[in-house]
Amino acid sequence: MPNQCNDERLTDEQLMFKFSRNDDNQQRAFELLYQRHKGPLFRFIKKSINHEHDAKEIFQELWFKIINSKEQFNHQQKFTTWAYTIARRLLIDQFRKSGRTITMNGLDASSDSQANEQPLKQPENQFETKQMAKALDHAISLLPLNQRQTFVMKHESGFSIKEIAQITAQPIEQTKSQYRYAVNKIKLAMERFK
Amino acid sequence: MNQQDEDKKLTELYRAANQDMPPADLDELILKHAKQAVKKESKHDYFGSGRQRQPWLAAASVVLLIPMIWLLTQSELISTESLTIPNSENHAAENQTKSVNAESLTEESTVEYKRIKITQDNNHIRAKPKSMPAPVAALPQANQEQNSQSITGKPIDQQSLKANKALLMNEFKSNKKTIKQSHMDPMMALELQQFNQYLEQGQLEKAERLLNEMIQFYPDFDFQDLWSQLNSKKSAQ
Repeated sequence: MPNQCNDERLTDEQLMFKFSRNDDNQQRAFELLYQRHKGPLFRFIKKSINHEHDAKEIFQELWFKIINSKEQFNHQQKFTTWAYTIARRLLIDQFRKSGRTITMNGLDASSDSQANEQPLKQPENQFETKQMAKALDHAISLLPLNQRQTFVMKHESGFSIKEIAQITAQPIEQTKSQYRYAVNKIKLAMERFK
Repeated sequence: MNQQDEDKKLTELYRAANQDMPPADLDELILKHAKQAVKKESKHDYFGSGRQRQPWLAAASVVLLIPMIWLLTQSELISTESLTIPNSENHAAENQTKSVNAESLTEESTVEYKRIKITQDNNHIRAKPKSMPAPVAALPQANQEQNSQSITGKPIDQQSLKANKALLMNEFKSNKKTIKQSHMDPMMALELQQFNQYLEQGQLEKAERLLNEMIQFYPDFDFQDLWSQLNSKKSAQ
């Protein structure tokens, strides 16, 4: 199937363009797009909300929105930026519905901790890698929402600080600070591995 | 260790601990929704929408127009219509055996028919007939033959023709008016008075000349009595 091979090489935006117009490979284009981004988006939502059931609901709602709003997608824009923006808005709505207190802007009280200049230890074996990964995962879950989201977007989907600032609708400097604070906290949480 | 190396190490650790994927039933549900959305669109607008419809319409137009144009051109080439034109050779042969008065000419001109091609030139349809005998040219020949042949083609009996002519003359004569004061106009009444005066005065030549003029000018009247009077006067002299 030469068409399928070609589709796999297409960028997210090209796949979204194919999906948004009526052609024979419309469904195939969506399937490829879904396969590429289902994991990172699911983990981003799950890490943001820290609730398995709610995460599934938001994830489903997110993709339904992508399907139903495909005509509105601006093909000059990056698909991931668009999808993460929608996901973040859905998360905020969920937080508001559930009455959870969130600090979306600014830095929380714990953010002014001392900068940890010590480098992270390189794991010596696979066991240590798993132990460190588990500790990292726990440390992420303890971060304030904005820092958590910034950190996850950076390491999960490889967004730049500029792109994260665009998705979170914050100034770049503020986003940069959020990321720096998040890293410091994680380092502190992992000091035992030094 | 620079910032990039540290980020790289964090990413590796993060990914080692985070391999969660959405459950399979959720995958199925989302893909099914996408499929339904695609089907819905296809049903809603089979030929696409907006700009996507244009190639469909253009293709459909071409598919419909080409056979129509082909049919039209074919019908223009093939379309011939039977038109009635006389065949000049056969017509001449017919003329030898039949009478050539005006009626027979028109009848015989429809004896033979030929096919001619109709061509369309802008808005005009022209049918160019082949050589058609001029009725005017045939007429002198018809006049000549009129003296010798009847309508049935048989020779004319001159005696019966004369007899018929006499009968016809009597017929005309019987219908003429008698000369009375009540029938004639004032001018004729004056001329009649003059004629009678010439007779009384014995000027018979003048009376005869006037009578001839009156016959010429008033053909509806019967001048036989006046001729009788003139002749009796002439014989009396």
